[in-house]
Amino acid sequence: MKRLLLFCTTAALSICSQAQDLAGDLTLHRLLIPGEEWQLVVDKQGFVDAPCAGDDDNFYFSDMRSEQGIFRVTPDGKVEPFVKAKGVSGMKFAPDGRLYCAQGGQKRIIAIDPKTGETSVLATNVQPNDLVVAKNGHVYFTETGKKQVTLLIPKTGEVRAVDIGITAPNGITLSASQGTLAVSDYRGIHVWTFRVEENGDLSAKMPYMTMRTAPDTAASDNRMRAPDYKTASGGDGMATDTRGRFYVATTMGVQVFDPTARECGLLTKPSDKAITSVMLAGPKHEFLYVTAADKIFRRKVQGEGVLFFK
Amino acid sequence: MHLLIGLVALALSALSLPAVDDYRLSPDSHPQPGVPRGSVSKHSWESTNVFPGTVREYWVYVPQQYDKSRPACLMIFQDGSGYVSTNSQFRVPIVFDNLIHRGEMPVTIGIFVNPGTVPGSGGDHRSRPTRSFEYDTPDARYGRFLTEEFLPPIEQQFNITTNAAGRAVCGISSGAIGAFSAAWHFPDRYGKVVSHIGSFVNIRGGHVFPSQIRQLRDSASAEASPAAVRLRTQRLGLRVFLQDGTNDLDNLHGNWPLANQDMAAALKFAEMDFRFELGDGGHSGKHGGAIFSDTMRWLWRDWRESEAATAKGNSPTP
Amino acid sequence: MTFNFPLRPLRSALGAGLPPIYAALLLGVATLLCPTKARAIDDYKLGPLSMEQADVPKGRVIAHTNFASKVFTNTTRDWWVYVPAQYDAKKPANVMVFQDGHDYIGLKGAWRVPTVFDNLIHRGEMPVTIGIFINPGHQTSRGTLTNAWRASNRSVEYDSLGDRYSRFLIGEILPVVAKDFNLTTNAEGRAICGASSGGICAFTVAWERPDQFRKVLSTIGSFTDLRGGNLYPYLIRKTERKPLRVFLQDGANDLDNAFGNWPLANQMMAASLRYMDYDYKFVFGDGQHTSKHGASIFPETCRWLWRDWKEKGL
Repeated sequence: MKRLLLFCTTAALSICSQAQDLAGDLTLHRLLIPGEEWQLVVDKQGFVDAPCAGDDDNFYFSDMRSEQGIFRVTPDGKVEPFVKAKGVSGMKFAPDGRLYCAQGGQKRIIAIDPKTGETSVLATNVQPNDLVVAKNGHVYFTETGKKQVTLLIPKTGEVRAVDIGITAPNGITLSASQGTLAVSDYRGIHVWTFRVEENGDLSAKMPYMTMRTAPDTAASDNRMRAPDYKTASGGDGMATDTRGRFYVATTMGVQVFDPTARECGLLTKPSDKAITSVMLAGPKHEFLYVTAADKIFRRKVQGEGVLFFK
Repeated sequence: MHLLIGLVALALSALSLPAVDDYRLSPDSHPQPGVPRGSVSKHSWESTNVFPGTVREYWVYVPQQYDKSRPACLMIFQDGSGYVSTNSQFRVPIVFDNLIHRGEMPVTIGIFVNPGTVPGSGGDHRSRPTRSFEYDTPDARYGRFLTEEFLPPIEQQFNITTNAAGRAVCGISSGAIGAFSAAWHFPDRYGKVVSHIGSFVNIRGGHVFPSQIRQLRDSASAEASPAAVRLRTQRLGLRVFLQDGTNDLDNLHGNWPLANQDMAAALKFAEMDFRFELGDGGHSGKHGGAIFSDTMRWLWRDWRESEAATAKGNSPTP
Repeated sequence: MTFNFPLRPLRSALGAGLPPIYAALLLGVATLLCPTKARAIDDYKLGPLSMEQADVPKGRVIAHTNFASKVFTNTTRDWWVYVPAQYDAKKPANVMVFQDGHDYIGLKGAWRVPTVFDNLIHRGEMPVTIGIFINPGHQTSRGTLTNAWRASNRSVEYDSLGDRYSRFLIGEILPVVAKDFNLTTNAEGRAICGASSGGICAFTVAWERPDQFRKVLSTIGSFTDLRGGNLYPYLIRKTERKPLRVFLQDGANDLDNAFGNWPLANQMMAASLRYMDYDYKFVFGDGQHTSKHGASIFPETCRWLWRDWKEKGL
């Protein structure tokens, strides 16, 4: 009888397996769409990075090894040259309509007018890896080698360190309301968050999100119990959606967190290759793009990207 | 045969059965005539050290029987606003008034502290709650906040016992695992834990506790430092009350009823002083509130012996 | 209600919210309706499908000894390959890999897998499947092994999370078998099985390499903190669903020890697989930490695991 009863209760419970999710639970069920898997959208590039969304249905990216540099993918999947800039590892559209680009190789940040192709230099003598541009025009960028997050105010040309100490600050994004700045640590396990002050300063620094890493099995062979886990997440490029979810490209895949830093889940990598960044772009900004070596993949999700310049 | 059983079950269920999660408050949760009322005052706290940039509110309950010349016991409630409210499910000040008056628990100062928020910095920047970060992370950070930052000024103001057996922590949901964490990492400061529908699941890695509790049985660490040996002994000395319901949550973070059974099974395995009440409630304070005065009687059942021992100077704290 | 051990399966009692009087009544009725004597716990027996049948073609078993692994260096192990009589070198055969192989391979042993496979394949209830039965490694420095359960590297190989065991299995064992036999590369046609630590090992292989193995059979699986496996129920809920079919068996009287509580751990696994809409089945009996229950239902479990093999063209 016991088994019959167990069967009955199991059957009753299986009517909806997620019936107990709370309204605020941003579960994988509320992010992924059944049948919408990763699709290859760009192939046979050199090394792609800097995925970027515009105020349109296109998706923008950089091929760090090409002379052309910046390309866009149209909604029907066509890859076409956009503007010229070599070695761009991070870029975002700014409120002034220009595309701000991190050119670490040339130790500078530039702004490109997409209409004229005209390039202006916003900051020199910097080592930018990735950047984000707030609605007020403030640019925050990571200088990974210097363990530094730096603020650039284009209006005044001011450049100043706003945080020092994260092991390898890499990806960078804002919260949906732009009151919080989030920075991923490539060689650590945290995404750090800060309160964004009106003058651009950062405060309330916390190791807010904890990224998952793989077990370091061999190191743990000589004892029982939970293994040591790898201490480097490979936390790289980041994105934000309108519900406040944070997305981070990591060694294990795309890790997603809710606005209060609780892990929503891990999305499997589309290929064996490391993913370097992630962005919501394309039609309605509902496609999650990842850059992986010479390829770009995307999948439709239940999440809409935030355009910080708007 | 199966059909018959089904029919019998159906017939039985048609009888008037209490609904699931149908818990009621006892008279202990209502003000009683002739019982002295303690005072409740509201305050706020800006953290500069452990959770820098956060602000929070807290309340202090002082029983009328408090006497500055005698050390009072202490009980700290996470998500304090819910516990301090006198029309909530818990109504702690009223329950404390009644129980202290009857001598069923010691004179106890109640601290009801809310989790922090990082206020927005103007414009349309929204404030950001740090509740999950503070409560659900199973490391020592929240315990450090209580112990090293938040409590010292309160301990200056009041005569509060330093004996861990006279200091309890309590919480609901994430607040419960936060309370447990604080005691786990500072068992020399907090010797009693009350958990209502505790989130011993993987919101931020808190599912590790059952296994860590079981490991307390492993005394093999001969190479362990004296501090590690002492910590283990103090942890084994914790008194833990757990309440959960079979209709509690099953979501992306885990299954609450199973997680609480996992905790109870671990506490049993470690032969610790614990009690587990598994009812049929959901993710609310109804059951915990209904049995709260019983919980306090169980938690403080030996307070007179404990107090006498402290007075004599041989604290029973392990 | 004060908590009583042994632990009962969550929500297993009809009307968990019933007050004791009704529950007692129900139980009384049920007892009246079941006049059979109360059976002892863990009293499970093998059925006819686990017995040799005269008219059923028998597969053959090839024994291998002293496998030297490069992944688990300085270990040795015995292993076996079962080839069904119906195997045809022109058609890729399905694969099922058993951990603690010695326990599954014997015709008079606990599981009798070759006999079960003979019977089920003959009846078309599972596809033509080559069985690979692998013992855990034993460190050569530890001298001769007299009891295969005591293999010195077993816990490291089976209980560890991560991809190492799958690298051994996929990179070292499978290629050796594939030299002699035509094995399918379709992950749907590749199953992996184990009991206790072998159970979590089987799950780990499929979890790490769903491109290689998509069917898992775990009995009395050690999803506990031997080496961090208590994380799985929680990982499952926060990881994009993998294309796996998972069978789990456990018993209410399974272990409760320094590493965890097996019945609760397996209930957690089942609850998590359900939450993520996995194709899974959980059978929870009253057994202890033995293979009696798992082996008694093994033919039925194989049918469930391979139930759509014809439609899938396996």
